[in-house]
Amino acid sequence: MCQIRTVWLLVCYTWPLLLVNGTVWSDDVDYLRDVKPVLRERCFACHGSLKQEAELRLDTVDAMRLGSYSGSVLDANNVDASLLWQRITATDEERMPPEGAALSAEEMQAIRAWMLQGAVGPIDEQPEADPTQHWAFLRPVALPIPNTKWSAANPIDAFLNDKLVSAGLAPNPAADPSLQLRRLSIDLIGLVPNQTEQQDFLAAYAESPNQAYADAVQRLLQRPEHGQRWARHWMDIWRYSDWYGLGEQVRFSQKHIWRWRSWIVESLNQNIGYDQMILQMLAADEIWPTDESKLRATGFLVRNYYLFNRTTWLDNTIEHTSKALMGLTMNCCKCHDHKYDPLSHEDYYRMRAIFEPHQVRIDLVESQTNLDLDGLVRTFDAHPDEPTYVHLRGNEKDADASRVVPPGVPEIIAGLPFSPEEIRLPPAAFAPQIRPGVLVAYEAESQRRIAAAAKALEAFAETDEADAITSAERVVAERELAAAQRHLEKVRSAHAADVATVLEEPDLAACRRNAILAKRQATLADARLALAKLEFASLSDDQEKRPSTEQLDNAQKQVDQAAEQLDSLDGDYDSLSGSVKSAEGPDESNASRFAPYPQISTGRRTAFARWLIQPEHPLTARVAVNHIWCRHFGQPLVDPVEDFGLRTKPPMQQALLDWLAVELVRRNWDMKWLHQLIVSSDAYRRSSVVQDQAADMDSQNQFYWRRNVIRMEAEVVRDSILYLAGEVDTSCGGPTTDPVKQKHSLRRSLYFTQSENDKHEFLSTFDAADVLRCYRRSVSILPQQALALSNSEFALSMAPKIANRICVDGGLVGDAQAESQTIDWNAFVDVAWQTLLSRTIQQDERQACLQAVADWQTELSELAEPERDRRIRANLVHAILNVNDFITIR
Amino acid sequence: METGMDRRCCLRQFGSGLAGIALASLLQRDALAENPHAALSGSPHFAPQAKSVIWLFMRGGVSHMESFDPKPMLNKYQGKTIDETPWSDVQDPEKLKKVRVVVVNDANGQQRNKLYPLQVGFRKYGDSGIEFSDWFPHMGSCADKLSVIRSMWTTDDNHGAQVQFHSGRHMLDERVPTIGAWINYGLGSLNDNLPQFINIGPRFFDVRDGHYLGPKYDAVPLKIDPANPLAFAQPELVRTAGEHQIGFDLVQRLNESNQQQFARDADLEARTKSYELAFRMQTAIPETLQFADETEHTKRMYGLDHDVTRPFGTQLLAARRFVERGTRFIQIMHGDGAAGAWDAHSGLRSNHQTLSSQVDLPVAGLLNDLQQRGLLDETIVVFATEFGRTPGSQNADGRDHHPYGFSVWMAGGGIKPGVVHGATDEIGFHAVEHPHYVTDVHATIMQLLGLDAKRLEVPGHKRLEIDYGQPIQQIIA
Repeated sequence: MCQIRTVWLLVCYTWPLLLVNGTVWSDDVDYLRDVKPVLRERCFACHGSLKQEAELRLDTVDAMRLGSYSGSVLDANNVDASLLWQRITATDEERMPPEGAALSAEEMQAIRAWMLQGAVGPIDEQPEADPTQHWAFLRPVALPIPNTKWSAANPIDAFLNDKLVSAGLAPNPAADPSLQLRRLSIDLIGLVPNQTEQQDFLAAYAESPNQAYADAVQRLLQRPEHGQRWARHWMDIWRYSDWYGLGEQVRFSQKHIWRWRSWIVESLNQNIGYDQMILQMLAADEIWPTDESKLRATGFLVRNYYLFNRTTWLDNTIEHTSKALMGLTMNCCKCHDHKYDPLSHEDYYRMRAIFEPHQVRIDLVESQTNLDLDGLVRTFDAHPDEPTYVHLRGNEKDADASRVVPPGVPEIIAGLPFSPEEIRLPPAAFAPQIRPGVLVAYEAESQRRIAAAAKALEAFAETDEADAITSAERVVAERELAAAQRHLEKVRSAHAADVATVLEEPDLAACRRNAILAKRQATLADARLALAKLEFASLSDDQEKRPSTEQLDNAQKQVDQAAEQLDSLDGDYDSLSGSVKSAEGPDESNASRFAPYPQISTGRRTAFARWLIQPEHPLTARVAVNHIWCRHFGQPLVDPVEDFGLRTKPPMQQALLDWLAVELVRRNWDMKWLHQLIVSSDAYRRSSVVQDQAADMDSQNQFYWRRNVIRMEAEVVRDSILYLAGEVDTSCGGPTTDPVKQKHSLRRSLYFTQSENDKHEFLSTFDAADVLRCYRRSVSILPQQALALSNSEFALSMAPKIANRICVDGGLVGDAQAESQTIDWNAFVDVAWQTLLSRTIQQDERQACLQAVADWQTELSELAEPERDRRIRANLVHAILNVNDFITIR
Repeated sequence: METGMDRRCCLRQFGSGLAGIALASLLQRDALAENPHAALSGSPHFAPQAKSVIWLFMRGGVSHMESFDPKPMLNKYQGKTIDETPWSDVQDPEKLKKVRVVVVNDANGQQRNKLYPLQVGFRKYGDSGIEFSDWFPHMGSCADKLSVIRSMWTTDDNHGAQVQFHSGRHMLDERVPTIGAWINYGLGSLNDNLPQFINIGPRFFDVRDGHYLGPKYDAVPLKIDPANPLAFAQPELVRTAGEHQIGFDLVQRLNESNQQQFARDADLEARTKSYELAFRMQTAIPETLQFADETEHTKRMYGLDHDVTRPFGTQLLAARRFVERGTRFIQIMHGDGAAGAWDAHSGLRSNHQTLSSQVDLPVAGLLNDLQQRGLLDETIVVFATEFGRTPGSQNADGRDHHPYGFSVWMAGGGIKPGVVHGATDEIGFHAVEHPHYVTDVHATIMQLLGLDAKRLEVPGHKRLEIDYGQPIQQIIA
């Protein structure tokens, strides 16, 4: 009673203020226009279909009348006494909504005016839909392929034509064959077709169009450049980033993460299946714990490494794994239940628990013992028992330690099994020092040292001079060889002892003894080497270099000591290091980074990955199909690609999306099958020309009556220019190219350094991927792009090479003569145009080009003729590269 | 803006003058938006008091006590520990809690207990009588043009605070757009030949601005080097001017022909315009950086006649010329090195003396020059740094980082002249009177430029109240 009075007083107090400040509503207040949107925005999250706090829903007027557990919240006869009014105008903790600002005076006014008018709602007002029935949360079903007016051999066309017909839209005819090839080539391998490829295709097309096209598709899908092209797309979605930090301190991502990129390229070329890729990326260390080739895949998780804050790290893992693989914006429920989707605060921390135990480490690879220089960077469960707590309001400092959150998946995607089972790892996984490759690496290092020492010693064999200096130097060389040999024995016995220790072999004691004794021998050899070096130095003419007596005595003492201890079994041998855990924070000491790793893994990530790739999963295949579709057509079937939640309405082409998703799963997630199906469709092959009538009806091309015009991605621009010049290095794999070597590197762009700190100037000008989030590239139109193509050394230096290739490949001259022969300008212009733009030149375009040739001849009249013609041909090519149509995919 | 060319994107691009649509609206730039939801048309949301911002940022942390916030008590109690003074409660753990430590180490961000006396004298300047240290006499002579805020605070005790001063977020949090990016996002260009958001000078902790708004809202980095001011501004291999021009004319003709063949292609049209702009920029930027038409008197105002002041003075003169030509936001970073040169952990006296002599005269010159040209009324000038320095000494003759209280000043369009606002306690430890978090500076700028930050919010990127800040009404005219 007392409380109600307080509220009433507050209302009395605040109401006159509202009258002063607010709009005075006349009779025309409209529930649907003025009231419901406010309630939807501010109230539905807790009082709607997602949640019914206090058993109250506000999504229909009927529901408001029905009210909460304390009865109706609406009383049109007594607005001031209505609970709805009281709560939205309260100024204490009773106020609704409790978060954010109060409703504005205007919004309150509208609600009051509407209540005063009787609080009327529309007849048949429907409540917000049940979120469990949201299209994207239901398993996709493949509907029968429609029969359409236009014959459609390809199911994609059958589905699209079905809608086109009913919309009364006429689709465009197929594009010119040369444009079709250009599209296809850029799409499947990321390079424009060169002159020879164009000629071959057009010749075959003249014989049998469909066969020629089908052959071209198969040929391109088999080329290794296909894996590179599509790896770059998935690197966008999966946020590939090279490591960066401050100086040598790794703060983000990790060194050697390029192995993950190599794995992506190889996996796509081998067409191993999207489901297998997900399994490997999330859990290769649990499912294939000793398969170094597959372990590379966990770079997907490694990429999120962040030195300073584990919560930030895991937040990124959760947000981007959810967006990329499931199209869910889990990040919104870090602090509270999701406002728009049925994803709870608890869901977020259950998902965190999946990743809580994992960490990053670098395992030694056969070619290198220094893990800073090379290694296999990968994930593993470092802390299987680490508890996960809910962070109240997302504040990591305010964790609810009273309750450990178990691992789990979002409840809304119910009914699919998720059951983590602890995995016992094989010894080579938890004790990576016992892998044979570790011995190989250390042996090779020792062998290199032995070889170098032996070679140095050989030099002395040829000299007979036995002066004191030479003898001393020779002793150094002998002892270096001896030490190198002792070290080889040392690493061999250490490895045997490591293996015996981990595997608890019966000869463990003997192995350890051997290893200790070998270590003693190596120590003695080192001490003798050090002494020999000092003795050699003491013969030097340079006073500065001569050691003191004390130093010499000391070195001799070391030798004596090592000799005395030669048979001592005190202490332990030096275990080989086969792996190092990445620092968990800037202050972690080295000691804890080499600690033995746990022998079990929680199996949580395996369970999560298996849950994702179940055929019944409503999101995984749809999201994958949508990503692939988007990159072929320049627009997705579901937009935005990273949010399939309640705010995203059923897509117009849902039947097609679902059919493709079901079929993809049925075909073992075969991505090359999907590429082939898409690029073979009429829809894909259509001309991009804008027809006025169709454009008036469907300017956004939602019906796919034409093919969209797309701008080349940054990498396609650079790689294609290199390809046309015959310069590109298409080799697969290998470390990231050093930024300082990039300017003149001929490698494909995906191998260049990309991180927040390092961006390639030319590529970033053309909207290279944002390494923090890039579910779709942004396409900007900036003057810097024109400057880059027009003025960069890259474009200017490639133009003459392209011009030369055009002369040779176009049959305008023989190979040897390209540099010197006079060439008919008409022919050159036509061939250059066709090669660079894959379309026939028009008369006015040819005229313009020839006019420019004439102008250049005048401008450059001081040059000798072959040189001048070469320069003009290069200028012409350079100009055509700068025409809009070069970077445009029609 | 990760979702490609949606409608907002298009509007934005057209709004920044790269397409035909923009041409029609050129004359109406900065007119009030009629539709309240048309934030991204590039018009202000309400009547602006200023058009442009020159943002001067001293990297490393300027001592507030030796610049704009004199503390005689440091002299009186020099050598005493804070505990031995009447202000021992400043180190109450509760009061120290707001700072979030990034890296614990002895060299940075520690409490320094032994009070260190002021290393420089102070004088009152102008009718307002605002005190400036003797290292900043020229700025002092402009006292009646500016508002000093002596009660700033931030939460990072290390140089990530540089990011924080620009974005409002601690380095351990998510990276979010900077104030310059928001202005760039919210307001249309005033000159289609020039970038509207420019960065000059070294950046280290965060070289991005746009973040989730997208890279097109990043500052265009310019070197004030007439030879190479802009990436790819000039052909990187030798071509004659005539050769270049013939090529450009050819491309233009071919693009126009292209456009006739592919009517109704908006991107194509925008790209053709942008190609034209590229060539205008090729001239406009070098022209802006060409000081031949400046009088010797003006050049002297910026200190171009002395080696010490010339580098920064050149940047400031360039900034005035960009503002004059319509660039919206120019941020100029002063102080090299990873941490920033002002980071005087030791040798504070010689450090600040040297650095202040590089900036003091040119900054005063900028204010006076803007005023004599009638530009000061429409240009906001900000002089800021990431944090102050400890009242206690470090390494005998230096001061450590101090995020609990420090000073900045603002001047120009819509800022009250001759005001001192806010205060730290008597030893310069905590901002105690009208404390302002860094985003209050952002909010003040937004208000003066006529922008409502809440209407710029991007779906999916909820901003917190503290991200918006509150305009500092007491310094707004």
